[in-house]
Amino acid sequence: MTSRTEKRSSGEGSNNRFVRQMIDSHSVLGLSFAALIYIVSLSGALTLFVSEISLWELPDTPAAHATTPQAVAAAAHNAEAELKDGNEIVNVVAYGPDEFRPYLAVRLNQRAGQGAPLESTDWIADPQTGELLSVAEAPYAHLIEDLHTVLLLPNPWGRYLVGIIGVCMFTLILSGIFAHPTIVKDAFKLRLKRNARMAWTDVHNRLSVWGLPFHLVITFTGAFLGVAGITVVALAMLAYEGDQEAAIQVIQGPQPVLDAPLMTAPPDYASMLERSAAPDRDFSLLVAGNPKNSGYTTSVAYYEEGILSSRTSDVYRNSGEFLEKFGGSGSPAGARVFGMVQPLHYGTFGGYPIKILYFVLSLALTYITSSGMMIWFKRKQQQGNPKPGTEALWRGMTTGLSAALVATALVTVANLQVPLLPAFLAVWLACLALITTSRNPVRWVRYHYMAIATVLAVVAAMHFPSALAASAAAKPLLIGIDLSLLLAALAFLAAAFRAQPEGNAGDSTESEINQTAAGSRVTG
Amino acid sequence: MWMTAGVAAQALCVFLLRRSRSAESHSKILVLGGLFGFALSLPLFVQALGVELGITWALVTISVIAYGMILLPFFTAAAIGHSRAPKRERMMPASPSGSAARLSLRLFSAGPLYLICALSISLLIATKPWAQEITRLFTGGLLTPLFWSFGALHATVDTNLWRVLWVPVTLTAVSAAAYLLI
Repeated sequence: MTSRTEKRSSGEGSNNRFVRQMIDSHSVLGLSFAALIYIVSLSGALTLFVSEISLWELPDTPAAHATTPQAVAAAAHNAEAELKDGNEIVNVVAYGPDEFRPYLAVRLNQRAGQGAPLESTDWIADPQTGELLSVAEAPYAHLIEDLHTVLLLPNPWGRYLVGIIGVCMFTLILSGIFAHPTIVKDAFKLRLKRNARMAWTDVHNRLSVWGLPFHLVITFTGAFLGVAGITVVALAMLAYEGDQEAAIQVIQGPQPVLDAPLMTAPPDYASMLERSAAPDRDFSLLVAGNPKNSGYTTSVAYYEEGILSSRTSDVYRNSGEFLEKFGGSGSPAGARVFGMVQPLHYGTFGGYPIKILYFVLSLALTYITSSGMMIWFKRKQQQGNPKPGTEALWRGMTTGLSAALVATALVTVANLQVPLLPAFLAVWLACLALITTSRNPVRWVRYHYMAIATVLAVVAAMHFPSALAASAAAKPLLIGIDLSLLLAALAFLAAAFRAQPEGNAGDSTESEINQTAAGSRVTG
Repeated sequence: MWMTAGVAAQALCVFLLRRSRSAESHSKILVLGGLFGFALSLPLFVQALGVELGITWALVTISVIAYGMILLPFFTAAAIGHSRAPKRERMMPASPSGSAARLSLRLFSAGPLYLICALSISLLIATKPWAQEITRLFTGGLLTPLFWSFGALHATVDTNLWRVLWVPVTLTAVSAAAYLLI
């Protein structure tokens, strides 16, 4: 009996130790990277709609749900003709209209010479003729995308850092699972009337556990996309004599023929597009590698129904010879899995229903980060070691980020000639400073929420006439975005009024922080 | 129609599982019913969208349905928790991660050491001829963040600091040796 009891208690002890170690790992990584995880998660939720935001910025774009092979070919040739003297073409990419991006666009990637930095220019093209209509500049969408993919840092360092954050998030999920031996038993616990630490722990855990499949997929694919650059560098050093382009080309299908003759006439994209067209195929994009050289390849990518790795390519030699089908159904397992990464990460595999569900789950991921920090603040409070300064800093960082995103949306819609990135950073820092240095951070957060709600409503109202005047294919999207902005305004307003008034005995959110903040200032 | 049925089955799943927690009797039947609801939703989604898309959709929708059904009180509550902490929670044990120096070493292992370790194993998989080149490269690439994550977890969990340092170094050395020998 005694030995059985000892055994049980020793088992419980080791289990407790294991759980404690997992929680410790969770805390160490979570606290170290919380701010960056929050930024990547929130900007990730918005990046899901970056194509739509581009269109929102350019409401006069001639939108269309379909185009013709001739128009796509003409757009690609017109882009090639914009090559600067002395530069070399890396490739030309023509994007066909789709559900999320109902317009024809074309990109020219060029550089001054081998190893020189890439210069990319995007144009909107006429979906009927392929004529280049305007340079597609969508700085607000670009800002959001850069915030998510490179944290506004120079490449490749920003991408590497985002990859590290992805790995960290995946590790946090693993430690979160292992730290929760009663994960099934507690699956529905939501004790909002218990002490604040416990209440926030329940919110954190319920959001985490029920969103687990999404969180695993989004962090793993994000980590892969970020770390891929490091892997390619290492792979190139080991197996391709340091040539990163050679390493990348291996995974992009048939290789270019070196020393092939120059093209005597431009590649016949229209014929390639017509050959690849079929009733069950929707054209996605055309990628023409160095169109002046007959040894390079042109890929015609189209969407394949019913599979996750939805983009399948027909690869042609620039001279017109069909080489092979690459990716999609029937391709090698590695290519199939690789083809799933982007659709799974950006939620492009199921139309708007999936995009909206992804948006909800991405916001949940953002809130998991925030609630994780709340648990830590409450724990410190309970231990008699409150961290009012850090809490104010956290609130300033998170609220400031939302305020900066909304303020730059206003700059964009009002067409103010202000550089967007400096404006974004200035608003963010100003809000951070205001909330962090105020005597009452929570009240200032509430004021910020009200201001954000007001600006969101103003932005939607200012943009609405453009949405109504937009072409038929763009109108539903643009109206949808403006209505979403109004909805977001209401959500911020609700959040502002939810924060409890000062002096409420049951409130652990505001009065305590304010008291401890004031206390620390007096003693400090 | 199949998808609507799938969503309904998942809603039933969450409802029954939730009821099983508060039910005084028949809780096992409710759990089984809930699990059956989820299992039933999978073929319904697959029927509507095919295997790959169907299963992916099902795993996304169950999360949002559960959020909607479980977290409603969170949105309607006037406040989250109160500030009266029980005595036993006022003093919590010190965290096992230890001093700043020990923590720095752990993070050094979780970061650079396990990155190099993950890369060395992945590159071994990517470059040795066990499958088509494209499959090897993608597999190696996809495994890098996975290995790195498990390594980072080990580095931040294991209380034996010596082991936290020698395991990634040894694994890297073994991978390098295997690369040269195979």
